[in-house]
Amino acid sequence: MSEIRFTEERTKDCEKLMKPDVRALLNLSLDEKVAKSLEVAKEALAKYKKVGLGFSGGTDSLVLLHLLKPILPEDTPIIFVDTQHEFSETYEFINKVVKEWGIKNFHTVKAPEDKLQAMVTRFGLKTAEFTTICCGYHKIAPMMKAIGDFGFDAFFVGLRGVEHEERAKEVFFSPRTSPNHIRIHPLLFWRKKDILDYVKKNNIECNPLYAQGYTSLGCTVCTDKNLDPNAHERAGRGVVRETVMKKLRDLGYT
Amino acid sequence: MIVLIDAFRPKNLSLFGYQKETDKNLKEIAKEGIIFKNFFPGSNATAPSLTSIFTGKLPKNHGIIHQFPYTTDEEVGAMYGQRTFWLPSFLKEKGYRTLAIDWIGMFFEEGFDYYKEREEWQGENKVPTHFSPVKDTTDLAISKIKEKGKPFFLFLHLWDTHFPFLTTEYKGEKKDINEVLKEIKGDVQKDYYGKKVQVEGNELYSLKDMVGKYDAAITEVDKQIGKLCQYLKSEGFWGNTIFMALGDHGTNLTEHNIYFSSSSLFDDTIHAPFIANFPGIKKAEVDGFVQDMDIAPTILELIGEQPREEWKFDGKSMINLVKNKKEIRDKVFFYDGLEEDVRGVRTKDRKVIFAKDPKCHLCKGGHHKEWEEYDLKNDPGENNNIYSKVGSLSELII
Repeated sequence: MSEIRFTEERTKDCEKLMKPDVRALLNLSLDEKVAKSLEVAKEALAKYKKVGLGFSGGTDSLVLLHLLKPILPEDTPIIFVDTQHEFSETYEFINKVVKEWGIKNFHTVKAPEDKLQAMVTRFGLKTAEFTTICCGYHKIAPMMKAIGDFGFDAFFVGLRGVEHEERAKEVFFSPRTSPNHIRIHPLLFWRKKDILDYVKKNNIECNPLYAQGYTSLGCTVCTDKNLDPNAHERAGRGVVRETVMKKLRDLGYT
Repeated sequence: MIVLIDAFRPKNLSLFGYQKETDKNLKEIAKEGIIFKNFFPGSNATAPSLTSIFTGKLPKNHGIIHQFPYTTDEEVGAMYGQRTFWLPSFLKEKGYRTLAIDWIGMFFEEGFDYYKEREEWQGENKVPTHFSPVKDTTDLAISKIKEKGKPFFLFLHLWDTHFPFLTTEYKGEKKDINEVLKEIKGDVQKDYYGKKVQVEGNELYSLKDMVGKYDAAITEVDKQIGKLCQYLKSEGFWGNTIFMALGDHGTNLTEHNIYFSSSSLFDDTIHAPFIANFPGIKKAEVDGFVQDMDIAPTILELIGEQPREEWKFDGKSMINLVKNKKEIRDKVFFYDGLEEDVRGVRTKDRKVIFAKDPKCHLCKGGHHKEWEEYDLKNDPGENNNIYSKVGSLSELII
């Protein structure tokens, strides 16, 4: 089995994995995509009482927030998960967006402790175990706790299918447990180009890290610059992890 | 004390009707203690099962559905995000010395004062020679208990019964890999078993001899459990020790065209032995259903602690069941930790399995149809799928 490739071919592989009804939306125009995404969001708002939105400071969730802000109730909680190892540019950018866009109900959530050093010592930097447990503990867990604490029935995130093989299989309304809620993915069928076109068209200021060569943002531990113009957009993210995982899986290791 | 025996199934114990006596010492414990005849872990894989033991919850509620390395960061996040109880941490707070003899690590190390499977830790390169023989792990456990005496909580994880079955006792005839693969049905399984044997670096035996090796591994585990109990008795600890020896899940040996793997939700993989000694509680043979999520509430009751509402246990204490035969549930739920999205529910005489996505992460095939239903009274081997339409059981797992 081949290694994970970080080229544009990977985008095409992801497209092939997408559900046919979602894949069919990939070639809509930007205006049509905006309309479809709003339709998904409105359906969610009609269906679910208590909703929240995840904002990471990256461009996808920035576009999601910009797109949905006019239709979301003003007091909708906007949740930023602070992994405690974000880029300083990200912290500054988020503060700026919250202030300038007039976000009324903004919350920063984080894990109770910073366990990064202990995890690096125990598992080794960027090994399969490290990334699963580090991301799980510092990034996903605070979000899941917030979803439970706020009692959200539904939670909007800026996930897109062409980013990753696992994300490619996602649906607009994705049920989750622990806690029970529905993850809403209005941008599921957007390509990277759509995000960039939307930003340009609406003259939105983005996280300055993109201008420095980053194409996909995570925390400072696992995010590198992506300087190859032909590479996949996630090429700066967790390469070691993705290949190690694949190797283990191919070996049939239990 | 929890002695977790990996890939341990009742079918190969004389306590459950096997023709060979692989389990002499466990039988001795059961003579005076408790045997649970219907123990069903909430998963067929170690990581979700162990998380159930330490959280008191079913996999769908504690978050860890899949075995490593198929556990996603989303699952780990769900577990940490919702976790309000962790047995080792709780016991540590209560003043117990918390000792674990195991290698899987990750978040399972939390709450333990000592967590190793051997004094000389092997570092990052734990694949493929990750198992220590039961004699070494048991000796290490005894030496750790000896260091400071009571009170202690010991979690001892024994891996000899997991493929490739550690044993020095069994003398099978080694065979050429191609000869052995001829015994296996289907290209997917041939390919998987061929790879698996190479990964584990194991000498190859015929399938029949591999079953013999599994039995021999059980016998060695049983012998060391006997030694451990003898030590506790000699120190005067036994009468006051909560002792539980159980499987984290079962295993297929060759059944259902699945070879020495716990993938799938047939009884071979999700029915496990459970033998216990609870201080002050008389001998009992328990037919009522219990699951691994019941272990934490049971330990709490035995040490005089009340469960708090915020812990949201799915499990219930087994004590009333053991003492008064008062059943705590009429059905059990379980989740496949090795296939993508497969779950099941079982009563005493029916089982329904729903495979939303049966892709097996190990063999790349799948082991279940979208819906399966078995009449366990007349078809205990689960060979005849009688599912016809959604019913009261299937509705519970959609």
